[in-house]
Amino acid sequence: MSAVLETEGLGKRYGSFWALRDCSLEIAAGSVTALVGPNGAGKTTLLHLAVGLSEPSAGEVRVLGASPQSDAADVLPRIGFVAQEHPLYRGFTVAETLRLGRDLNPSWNDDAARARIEALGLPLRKKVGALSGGQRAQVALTLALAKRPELLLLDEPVASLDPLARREFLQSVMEAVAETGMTVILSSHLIADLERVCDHLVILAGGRTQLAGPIDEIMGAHRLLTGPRSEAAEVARVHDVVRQSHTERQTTLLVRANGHVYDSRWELHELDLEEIVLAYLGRDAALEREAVAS
Amino acid sequence: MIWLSWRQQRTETLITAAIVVLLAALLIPEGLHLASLYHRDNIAHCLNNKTPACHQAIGDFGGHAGILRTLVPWFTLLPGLIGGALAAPILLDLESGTFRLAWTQSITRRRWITTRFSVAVATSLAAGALLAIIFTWYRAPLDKVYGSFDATSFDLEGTVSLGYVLFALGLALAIGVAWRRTAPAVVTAFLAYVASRLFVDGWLRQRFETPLSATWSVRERGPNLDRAWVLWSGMSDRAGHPFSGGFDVLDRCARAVGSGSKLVNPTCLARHGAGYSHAIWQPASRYWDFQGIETALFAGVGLVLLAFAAWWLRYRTA
Amino acid sequence: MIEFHLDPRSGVPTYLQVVQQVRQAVRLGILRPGDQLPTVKEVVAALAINPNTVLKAYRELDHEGLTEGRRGQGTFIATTAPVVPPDGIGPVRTALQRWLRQARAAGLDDDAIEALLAETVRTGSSARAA
Repeated sequence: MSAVLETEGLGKRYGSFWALRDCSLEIAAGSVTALVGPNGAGKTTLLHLAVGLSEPSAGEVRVLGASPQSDAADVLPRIGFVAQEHPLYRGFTVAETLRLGRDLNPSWNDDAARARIEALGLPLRKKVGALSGGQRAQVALTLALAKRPELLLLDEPVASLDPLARREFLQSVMEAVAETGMTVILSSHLIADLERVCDHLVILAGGRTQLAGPIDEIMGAHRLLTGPRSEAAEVARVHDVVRQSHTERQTTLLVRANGHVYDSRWELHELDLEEIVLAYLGRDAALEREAVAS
Repeated sequence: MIWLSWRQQRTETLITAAIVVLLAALLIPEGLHLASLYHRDNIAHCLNNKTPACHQAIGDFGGHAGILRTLVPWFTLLPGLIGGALAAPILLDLESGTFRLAWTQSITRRRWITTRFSVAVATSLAAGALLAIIFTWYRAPLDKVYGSFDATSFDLEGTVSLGYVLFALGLALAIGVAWRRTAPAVVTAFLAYVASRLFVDGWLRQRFETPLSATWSVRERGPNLDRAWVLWSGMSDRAGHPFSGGFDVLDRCARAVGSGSKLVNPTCLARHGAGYSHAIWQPASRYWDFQGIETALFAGVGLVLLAFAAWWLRYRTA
Repeated sequence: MIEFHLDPRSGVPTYLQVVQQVRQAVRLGILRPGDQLPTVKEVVAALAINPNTVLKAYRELDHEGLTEGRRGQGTFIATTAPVVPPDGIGPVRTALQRWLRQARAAGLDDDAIEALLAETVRTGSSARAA
């Protein structure tokens, strides 16, 4: 499988502040990747670099084998992007918005776009500003999908939507994936939304990649260990400890296991994805506090 | 992309059209009125016959400009408003973040900038040209009498409107793409437009070419200042130094010559340092030179500002 | 046609839930040999899950021999799948309902009933194995 998005040491700086740093990722074709992290973690920065909206301050980003900024004419027609808050021209009607798509995209499939709008029950003459949040999100998604992209990038697509609109939006995306096999990257600061639709995960915090990989593998490799406090160091020597907490005699470790955990003195528990993500975000926050304190 | 550019500036194009139509509505009736007066009073004949009757006729004719006389100086702000209005859609697109929608379709950033700017420039120039055409038509009778060189008509006739709108558009875009807040940027640009115009109108324009000057005694005819732009004229001494005294010198040097009129003694005036007339002016023949210089000046700066805005958008915006 | 439902809190991976539900449906006679499973697109539309997950589940079922894919037509329950005799379950279900009424009359709540059932199944299996 070839990589649809590759970054190497990618970084972006605003003044003296690095919004993204040392980011090296490979997103495989056909995968649905969740890009997760708190606000300000660098998710939007990464996505904007990937679609050529901004230029790297360090490192490289390649999309479909080309540079999104310098080869924009080649790359842009093959990728679909929905920015945060689904920007649309509020004064345009739905029909005019579709016309925008048709005018600006050579690979636009107008019939598919209209069919989709009709299936969603959206009136063509209605002004975009008069639509609900969920409907606007669907219009923005239609714009991105109708050009038949190979890669779809969505920046916090469901953040401002009610649960039903959220479900319908993700359903639309998954239907499109089933139909075309396209690659999807969606960012969110909530993992719960994305668990059922994504098969890969990238955790970003403080502008750095904390974890990246297939969700199956991640779930399989991470375990919660509870056991005697005295043995904590032993475990730490073999496995990566992501989070630890101690009582007087007992230690709880969240580890990424290197190999099997054999010791019978430790109780093993499986974890759900949200706990794993929180552990990594917590670790970054702790490191931040240490850095600030020192 | 062309459709999109027009669609996005639809409201502002309508506003611009409304301004032009409003101007036409004001000036066309007035212009027809002036033209008919011109013919009725045979002003054309009087331009070459300086009889006292003609003098009176011309004076009366000039007084018929009516209410527009007070409004006309304000018309020179219109290019500033139009340039600012047509920059607004582009700036709002940037401020609201919706530009990200257009920049991530399939066209390049360069094409977006080129097309949006071109449509705005084309609309501005069209509006500027229409304003100039309407105004020139309206002022034609007055121009025949007074020339086009004075401030109230130079600004609005000829080609300078084209330069003004380009300048105003360039200012608004250059300030707005860097500032990213449309309303203050457009207001600041308009104020900068006004300040620049005042500077050129009031100080720079008369210095485009060195003005002519002459001194002649009150007995002589003096140069032909018809339709010229007179920068200064008045009494002076022989060397041309302006006479600083008041008009009472005329009383002192005057002698009554029956039935109420007075004859002024030139030698007496000369003794008081006032026996001559002095004038500084730009001749009417230089009108098109000046139009060209001022148009090139404003259009040139406007194009530089537009280029700056385009460069900023292309390379500095995220 | 079977309708899938997802329990996001069960701790069981999504694809496995789909597999288990198909197995269960075959056991209970809801799905018979030759019945068609919903297409990937239909499942995705109903549940809003990753199509790869559905594909994984269907591959697993195919591997187990419970289903077979027919080119261009979809996924079907294999003709070699165990068939539950249509009369087989009925009497058992009735007996179970009678037993439940008995259990409730004896004062057992739902949790106690489930615990009793689980323990009996477990000891029963090991007794059978022994």
